[in-house]
Amino acid sequence: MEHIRNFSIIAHIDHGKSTLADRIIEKCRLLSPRDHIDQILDTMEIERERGITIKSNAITLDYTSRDGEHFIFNLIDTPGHVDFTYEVSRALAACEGVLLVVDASQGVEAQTIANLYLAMENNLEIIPVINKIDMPSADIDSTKKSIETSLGLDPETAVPVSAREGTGIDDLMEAIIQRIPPPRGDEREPLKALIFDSYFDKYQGAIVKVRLFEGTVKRDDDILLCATGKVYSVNEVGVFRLSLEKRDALRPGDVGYIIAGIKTVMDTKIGDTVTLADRQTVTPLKGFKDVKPMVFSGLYPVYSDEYDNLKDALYKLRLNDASLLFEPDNSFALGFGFRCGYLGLLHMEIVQERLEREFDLSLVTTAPSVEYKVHLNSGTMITIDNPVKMPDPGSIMMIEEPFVKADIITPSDYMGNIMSLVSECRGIHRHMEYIDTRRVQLHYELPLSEIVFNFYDKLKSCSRGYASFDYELIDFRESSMVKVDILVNGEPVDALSFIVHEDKARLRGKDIITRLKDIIPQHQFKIPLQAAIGSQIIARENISAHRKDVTAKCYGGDITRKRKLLEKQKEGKKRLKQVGSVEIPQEAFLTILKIG
Amino acid sequence: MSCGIYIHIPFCRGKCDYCGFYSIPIGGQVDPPAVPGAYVERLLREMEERLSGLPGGETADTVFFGGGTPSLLSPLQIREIAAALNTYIGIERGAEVTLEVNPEDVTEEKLRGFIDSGITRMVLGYQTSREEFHRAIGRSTMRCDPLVLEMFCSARGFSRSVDVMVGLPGQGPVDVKEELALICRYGPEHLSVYCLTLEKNTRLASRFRGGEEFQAGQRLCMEAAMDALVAQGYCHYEISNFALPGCESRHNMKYWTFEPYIGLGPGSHSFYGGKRLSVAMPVDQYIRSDRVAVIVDPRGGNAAAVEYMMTGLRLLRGISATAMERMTGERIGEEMWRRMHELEKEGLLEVQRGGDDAIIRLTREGIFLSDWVIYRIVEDLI
Repeated sequence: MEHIRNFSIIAHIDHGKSTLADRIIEKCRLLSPRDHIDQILDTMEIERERGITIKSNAITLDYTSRDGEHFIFNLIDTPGHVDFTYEVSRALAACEGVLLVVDASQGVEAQTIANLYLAMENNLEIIPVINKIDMPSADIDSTKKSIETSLGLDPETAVPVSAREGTGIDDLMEAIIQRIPPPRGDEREPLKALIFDSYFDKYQGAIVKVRLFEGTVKRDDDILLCATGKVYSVNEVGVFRLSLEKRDALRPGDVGYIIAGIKTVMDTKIGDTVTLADRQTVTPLKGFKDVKPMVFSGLYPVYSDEYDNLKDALYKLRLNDASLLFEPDNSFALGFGFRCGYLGLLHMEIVQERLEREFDLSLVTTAPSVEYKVHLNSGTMITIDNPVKMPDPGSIMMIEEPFVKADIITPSDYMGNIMSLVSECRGIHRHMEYIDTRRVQLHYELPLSEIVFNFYDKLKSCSRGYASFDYELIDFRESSMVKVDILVNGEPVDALSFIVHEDKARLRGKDIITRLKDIIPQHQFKIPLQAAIGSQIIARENISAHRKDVTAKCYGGDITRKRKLLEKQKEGKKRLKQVGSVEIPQEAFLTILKIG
Repeated sequence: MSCGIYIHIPFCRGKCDYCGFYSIPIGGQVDPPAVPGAYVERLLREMEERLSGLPGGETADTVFFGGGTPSLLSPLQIREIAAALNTYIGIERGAEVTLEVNPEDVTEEKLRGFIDSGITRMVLGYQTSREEFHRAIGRSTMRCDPLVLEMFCSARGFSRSVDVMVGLPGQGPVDVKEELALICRYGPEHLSVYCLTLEKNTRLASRFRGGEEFQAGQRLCMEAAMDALVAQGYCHYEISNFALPGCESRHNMKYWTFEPYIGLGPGSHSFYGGKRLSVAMPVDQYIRSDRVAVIVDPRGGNAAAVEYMMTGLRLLRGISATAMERMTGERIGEEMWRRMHELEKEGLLEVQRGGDDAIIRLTREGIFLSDWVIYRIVEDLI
């Protein structure tokens, strides 16, 4: 056990986490240089393409130190994004130390700080790593200063490296050995292992990624998962190399996998404790919680005959993503579909992209919504995550909406822009501090509903991409929220309804119908477009009647082209949704996502 | 049996901003610009390849030189092509031989040369004579001023047609009436009036978006044109075409009445033996090729009926249900009758029943919405 080191790498997006992991793996000669693959720990296509990590992964490596001693490194890769904070915290709980990567040209970012707090909560040894020192724009002194002022770490302990060029990696390997403590634990105690992730294999069922703290686990043991209370018989244990590598047993300090005929990842909750059914631990691991979705949206197939395919696809995704929630939903305008709950916006985007890409589905997504607590006059409280379900304004006594604590780090030049953006978004300024000579950290409280409307894009554009941002849910607060309906030709289109703060209802309503005016084609009759709160109309526009087609030439007898145009028109029409006597293109449902 | 021949000349002096067709600008390369000899030679070989020994033993009763800018052909080149046609298929006595002519090519000498080469009908690419509209659409050719029009129309020895474009940015119905009054003074036998189309991926579309108001204005222009020409005694026989009685374009009528025609040259189209064919090759590849690649449009089962409606309804006299059955083998089904009845109630279509037949034609309102009306009739079949 003295020769095991369990650690993770945490970094802000693009600060070079995956490249550093690749270099460390290379040093351990797991792969010959010929077989080199970039981003080796990111196995999903979408991870490689977007350069992000979505799932936690682990790999067991052999390393021989400068002194010729043999070590086992367990490198646990974590998702970097705020949507997956809980997953990150559990992956970190499986480690004794962490490499905190800071880009020498970018300095400390909001995500770096958020991740640092997670590492500190888990009492991990922190090795600051200054990466990209080969870049011409690298400013090592200033990066050291921000490590000291904003992270509160000793800058002299930082290891400078260039993961791209491989410089400094040997020093880093030695620092891992010397500074990260070996794991502790007693083999004779009852089994106590942490589930930090799991994935689904169609032949073996759920494959559980665990870190052992006490006891051992081997084939034919009966294990108990504490959160679900279910018992399974172990078929196989082992460690993660390039593929799964079978072992006789896992012992304290080991990071590896358990296969036990578990049918679904829903039963292998991240953060749960694994113990033996007939010899249970008396102290299950702390920190387990059931993750709850924060953002909701409707997902509908463009072609109604794809409903069953969408259903299958969602079930398949959930095999590997227990945090994805969905239930059947029915929209007047969009037909049969699903209401889905996500951990955050990135999670939502990823789910949609995977559905379209891996399952070849065409989807319409409704505007993302948060969950509201609606207190009725009758004294009861209901939670609403779908604008369509919002009760009549007359029956509502008060609505509460979720608030988050948001930390923004920005060069001070953009502070003014950001302050006005946040105040437009109903943000409450708490405090701010300089983290180095040119950058400030701003602390706000913001309604989550404002963040789901393109806040991140706007933050990036008003700071030329320099500001970084991190948030976490704090509480629910009373707000004057209203539901706005969009009426097309007098008919409310349910999928276009949205919930918004009273003060912004008129502006957003106007914005949406102005966009709809460009998207809905002219019909043979005039089409009024209206935005309304209850029966009160707050904005209106008209689409005038269509009175002329083009009368182009049938050139040189090219009848085929003309016929194909008709066929294309019919293909396009399949994508139209009929509301009353008006045909609305799918695009219209997307415009509402782009508002703000 | 007779057949139409279309000869495609995909060369232009320059590219007009509104044009979405494939053509090769040759303006700067040779002076004066001309159709490359190698292209004409290849055309002659294509005729030998495709026209000699047609299974139906057809002869040509119409020939149409279209483009591009076919008046870039020299009279000598036209004579060569005509001679080859005579060799491989035979041009009937009294055949209509049409040439599209750009304003630059309207000189007494050239017109004479074209007539001497066997051209019997010329179409002048007039479009507009007004400087501001000419500039607004970015036409690359010279503007067709009234003097050119006068020279074209007062020449003798051929039948004259004038292509006019209306619904141009900034143009109103009064402007259209003035232009047409000017043209009608010279009494051409035939006029084609097209509405400007904003084709995707053209320079015009990238600088001018159109929009609702513009479209409404275009309709007023088209209405003004229809009224003005009918008042001058022209018969509005096809959505965009007007003719003095008996002077309809015989070649173009073939497109609308399911008559056979054979297109030659890259980018040309044919309707022969009940099949739609095209020559889909880039020009340079065409010139170098030993055999012309002819592509057969793999039409589905209902294509003939769809096409019959699509082309036939462009003629204002309409189509007859029995003629359609005779030409395509398809009957108008119950669903199509239901759709037509709906359009009739909306005032877009007129259905005249008599005996065992029915005549179906667009109403005046239907003319303006022809694409939409046709789409609705055939929607079920596509």
